[in-house]
Order: sequence, then structure tokens, then C-alpha cells
Amino acid sequence: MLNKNKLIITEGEITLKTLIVFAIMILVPFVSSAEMDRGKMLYDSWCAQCHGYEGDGKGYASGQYTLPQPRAFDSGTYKFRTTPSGERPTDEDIIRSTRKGNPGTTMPPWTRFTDDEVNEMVEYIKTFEEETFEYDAEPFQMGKAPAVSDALLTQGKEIFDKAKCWECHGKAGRGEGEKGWQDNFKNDWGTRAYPTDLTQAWEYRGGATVEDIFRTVTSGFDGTPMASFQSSYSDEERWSLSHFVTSLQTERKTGSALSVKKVDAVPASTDDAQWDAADYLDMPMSGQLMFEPRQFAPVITNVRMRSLYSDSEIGVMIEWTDKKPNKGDDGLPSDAVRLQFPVTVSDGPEKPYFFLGDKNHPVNLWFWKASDNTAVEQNAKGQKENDLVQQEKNDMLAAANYSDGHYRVLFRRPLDSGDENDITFTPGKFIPISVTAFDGAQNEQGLRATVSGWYYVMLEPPTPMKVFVMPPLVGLAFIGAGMGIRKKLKEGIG
Amino acid sequence: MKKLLIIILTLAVSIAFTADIDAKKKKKKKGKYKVTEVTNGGSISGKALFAGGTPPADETKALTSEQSLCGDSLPAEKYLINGNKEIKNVVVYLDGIKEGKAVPKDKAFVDNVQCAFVPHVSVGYKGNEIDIKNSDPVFHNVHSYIKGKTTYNLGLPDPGSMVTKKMKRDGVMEVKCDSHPWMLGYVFISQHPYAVATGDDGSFTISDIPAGKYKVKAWHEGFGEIDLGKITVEAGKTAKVNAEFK
Repeated sequence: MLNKNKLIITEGEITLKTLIVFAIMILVPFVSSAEMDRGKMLYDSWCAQCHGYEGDGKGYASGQYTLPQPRAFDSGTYKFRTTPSGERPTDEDIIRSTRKGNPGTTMPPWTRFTDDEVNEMVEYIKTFEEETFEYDAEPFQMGKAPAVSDALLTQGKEIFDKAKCWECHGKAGRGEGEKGWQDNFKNDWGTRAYPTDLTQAWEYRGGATVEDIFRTVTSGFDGTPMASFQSSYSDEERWSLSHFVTSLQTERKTGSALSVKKVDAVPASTDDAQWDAADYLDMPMSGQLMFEPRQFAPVITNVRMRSLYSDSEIGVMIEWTDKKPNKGDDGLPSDAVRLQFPVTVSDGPEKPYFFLGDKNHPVNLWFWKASDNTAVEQNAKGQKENDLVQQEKNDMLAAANYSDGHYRVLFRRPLDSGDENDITFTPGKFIPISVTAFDGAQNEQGLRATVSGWYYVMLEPPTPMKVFVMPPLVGLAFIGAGMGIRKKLKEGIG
Repeated sequence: MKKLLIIILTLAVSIAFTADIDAKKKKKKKGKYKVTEVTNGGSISGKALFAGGTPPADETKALTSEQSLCGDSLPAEKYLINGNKEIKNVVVYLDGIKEGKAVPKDKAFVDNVQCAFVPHVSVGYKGNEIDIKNSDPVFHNVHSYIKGKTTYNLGLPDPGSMVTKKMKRDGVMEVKCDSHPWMLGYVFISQHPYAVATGDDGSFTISDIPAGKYKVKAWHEGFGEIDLGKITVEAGKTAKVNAEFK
């Protein structure tokens, strides 16, 4: 009995042990890869739409929807690193790109994940191409940025010239350098590489601080024509270059309205010094996404507006970067820019539909094309082809200039053209304005365009005459009264 | 009986898992070259020859910049075939040799001279360093690739500037310059020492090979890769084989 019982217990023990061993055998691989599984789960939920479920950079939101293309992790090539050219990125490098995003691309800064979750995603991303991560890499020391000084900026400029940064990035740093536009200028993934416009800080893919620039010139952007200068120049030289590059960055002034100053005569030339002195408003641009053909990946990211007016005339100047101009003679559409105003300014907040107006709110368009360097006036009341009409009487004068990757287009017109289809400018009134820009190189024309939202221009009303007359009069009266009192007192003493 | 079944099942599963792990480890170790002392090794020698009718003429590349320094055009150096149809810059190598002599310690070298890479084709050994130089007074960036993937991209702005990098991966490394689209060169990176490039007369000799039977291949930038078959190497003797391209 006892024996039998014992035997049963033993049998039970064996079965239990067997089952436990069996369970462990099955579970061990799962437990050890649980971290990876969570990384995959998060990646599939949040990253794969662009970067692809297989890490090939071909998610359904890639292609025409993004420029540059999402990183193909299966290539094992990483642009943003603190390691020498050709080496694997550190985990921190991938974490930085995830946390900070890449300006000017569709990669946003991701803040919704915990540090653990980001780490798990990084581990998963590394599995798409494992060979890269089999080799150790020695990250370079960033050190601390030296304080900026004139001497440092001078040295930085010398290196910018000597290192031939301008051959691609252009002498003005707008990415207009000739070498950057050769046919071979492609990245490892076969798409065209554009040298960065160094004047527009919001487009620096790897970030625009002096530290970011130092990291970029040191490591290069692997997979692109941007080379590493780690061995070519000392840390000190690369810091000075980085400081110089930050000095090229323009100050972006965004807002909702531009105040327009009155001058004796609106300058007729785009390079008149009065324009440089005039205040400006920067308008962030985005692709036109409401009507076919849409533009998902615009290259023009900003237009700058300046404006001056006189007793009879208004001038509006639009400036933007175009790294390679198109005049319509290279098989691509001509570059162009168009200002849009409501025909009638409403007293309330009501404005026409933001793109080409609507049936009840027609718009007045000022349209300049690089191909013939002239501007015409148009009206539109919708997006269909016959909603747009060319005006027969043209009150527009235009002047344009392209140099160093930069367009300046100046429109001039009487404040009141006497045409009922035209906008009339009344000082003191907020007048809605928006801009549509067309980059021929991006096949932009018609509805495929880069657009701004509505902004305002306000012609500063002239200062009333009494402002100039009254204070001196009051002053004179005061002096006169004082003199009188003095005289009286003197007489009194005498 | 049930007990036995469960035990067998457990064992089977555990073996399956261990086998899987082993397979992964093996995959990583595959192709690792082992250094041994080679005494009285044999050799393979021969010539790279064009065996077809008229050999292709070398191509010419038009320059799109730096004409004042380098002229309007440069030879591509792609088909360097002499009157005897002997081909220069063919790399002949033993494919997949597992063990043999140590890899020479010599650095590989590529220079930018007159808007072209010199040497145009060379052999380097995995794990060794490569010196990359710019002798021109213009900016060059040496942007190299293995199978289309960037191995490095180095800016060499100043004349005489040189960068030293390690060759971590093996394969045919294409060397390009983004600044000058016509520039192209190759470094054949081998993980073992049994790879040589042919000279002007198309001849090659691979020596100190441990006696045995080896698969021999030949690579050329224009003709591609050909198989020279399995060659038996006897101790102290030289086996003859030609690399014939068509």
C-alpha cells in the first residue's frame, strides 16, 4: 500500500517535473524575446507605415508622400550618427532621431513612448540588418562647443571655402551649388539627394544647433553625397566651421500680419536698399492637398514677404529659395509665384476659400512666371479650369531677380486700379493675402502647388498732421509763459 | 507508457531548440578564414585572356568639370587589353578557401590623381587598413560602396590630404566621387590572401597554397565574374589555368 502510494507519488512527481521542464523549454525563447516582441509590436504600430513592416523603407506612406524617403533599415546605413563614416550608429544615435525627429522631413519627434519602449524599438530596428551591428564602432567625442567669436567665424568661413562646402551648398549656402545638381547626385536608395539650404534652419535633417552641425560635418551623412570631414580637419576647425554655418541661418519671423510702411515712391527694382530695410513676414508653406494633382512633399518650405506703399502705388515683394531655377525650357514647368487677395475685403473675419476662392468669394490673383518674367492679373472663384479667368486690362508691373538660389519677385500696382475685379488697398485696413508658389523642378503647375494660409497686410495710415504741429506749439506756449513769468518776477524784484 | 511519451517529447523539443541555436551560431561563423603555417605549398598561375573575336575597346569618359586640370575626357580604364589579348586588372582568387597562410599586413592604397583613381583596380585584405589620398588641387570625396551600400564617404578637400580607414567587410568595393561623376575605381577586398590582380601582360600567380583542390574564380569590372573550375594544387608544384573572358 505504502509502496504503491509512494510509487504513485513518484509517478506524479515525474509527470509534474516533466511538464515543468516542457513548459520552460517552450517558454524560455519567448521570455528572452519578449522585449523584442514588444519592440516589434510598437514598430509595427507606429513606424512601419513609413519605414515598412520589413524595414525596407517602403511603407504605404512612403513614395510620393515623403521627401526624403523614410530610412530603409534593411540597408544598415544610417545618416545620423556620432560614429565615423561607414560605421554603425550607437543606440543613442537612433534614440536621438526617434526622440527629436528629423526637421524638414515626415519624421516627427516621438515623445509618447517611455525610454524602455524606445530602447525596445531600437533593438528591433537593428534586427532588419544585423551585419552592421556585428562590428563595434568608436563614437567620436563631441566635447563642448567653443564660444563664438569674430575670429572663429572668420576661420569658419575660410574652411567653408577651402573644404568646398559651397560646391554643393552654394556660395550663399542655399543648396544652389552646381555640383549638387549633377545627374549622379543620388543616395544609396536611388533617390535624388538635395544639398541642404543652410540658411533655413528648419530644414536641417540632423538638427541646426552648432552641436548638430559639428556632428554632421564630422560623421557625414552615410548613404548620401554628404561626406565626413572628421579626418580632414581638427575638432577646433570643425567647430569654427559649424559656428560659421549657424551664422548663415536666417531669422524666421512668423506672425499673422505685415505692417506696410509708406514711402515717397515704391522702389521699382528688387535690389533697392529700401527693400532690405523693410520689415518682413515669413510664411511657412505646405503642399496643396485638397485637389488632384496633390503635392505631398513640397520643397519650397517658406516664402518671405515685404511690402511698401506710396500715395498711388503698392509694392509686394516675395522671396524664396529655389536651388535650381526652371524657366520652362528644360521639359519641366516654369517656376512661378502667385499672390491671392479677396476681390472684396469683408469687414468681418470672413475670407474666401484659401485656395483659388469660392463661388461667393472670388479672389484676385497676381501671377508671375519665370518663363516670360511678366506678371498678369487673374480672377478665380473655384478650382475648376473655367473658374479661373485672365483679366484683359493689366495694371501689374513686375520685376524679378534670381541669384544664389534665391528668387525675389516684386509686384507693383496702383492702390486703386479702378477695376471692380481688383482688390483696392485702403490704409488702416487689414487685407487678407496668401501665396502660392510653383517649383518647376517638382513638376508644380496648375493645382499642384505649394501654398500658404491666409495672412494680412495692413498699410500703416499716415500720421495725422496735428502730431507734427501740436507738440512744438505746446512747447512754444510753455516757453513763452515761462519767459512772461520771469519778466514779471524781475519787474517785481526791481 | 505516457511517461515515456512525455519524456521523449520533451527531449525532442529541447533538441530542436538547441539545434536551432547551433544553426544560428554556425551561420555567423561560416566563412571564417583560419591561418595556418604553409610549408611546401603549391601555386596556381596563368593569364587573363580575351578568348572572343575582337576585344572591346576601352571607353572614354567626358568630364563635366575640372577640364582645366584634367582635360576634356579621360580613358575609363575598363578594358585594358593588349595586342596579345592579355587583360589587365582581372582579379583571380580561390573561392571559399578555409585555411592557409596569413594575410599580408600591407595597407591598401587609393589616390586621386588627375581626376582618376590610381590604381584603378587593386586587391585589399579584410581587416587591413586602406590609405585614401588626394593628390589633386581640387576637392574630391572618396565615396565607396560594397553591393551598393556605402562603406565610407570621406571629404578630401586639400591637396595631399589622406585618410586611413579599416576595411571591415569583404567584397568588390566600388570607389566613386560624388563631386566628379566619371570617376570610378575598385578595391577587391578579400578575407584571405589568395587573391591577386593581373598586370599589363595579364599574368597572375597565386602562391603558398596548401595542397588540395580549390575552386578558382576570376573577376573583371566589365566582363563580370567567371568560374575557372576546380584546380588541384600539389605540394611544391604549379598548376596552370587561364582566365578566359568572352
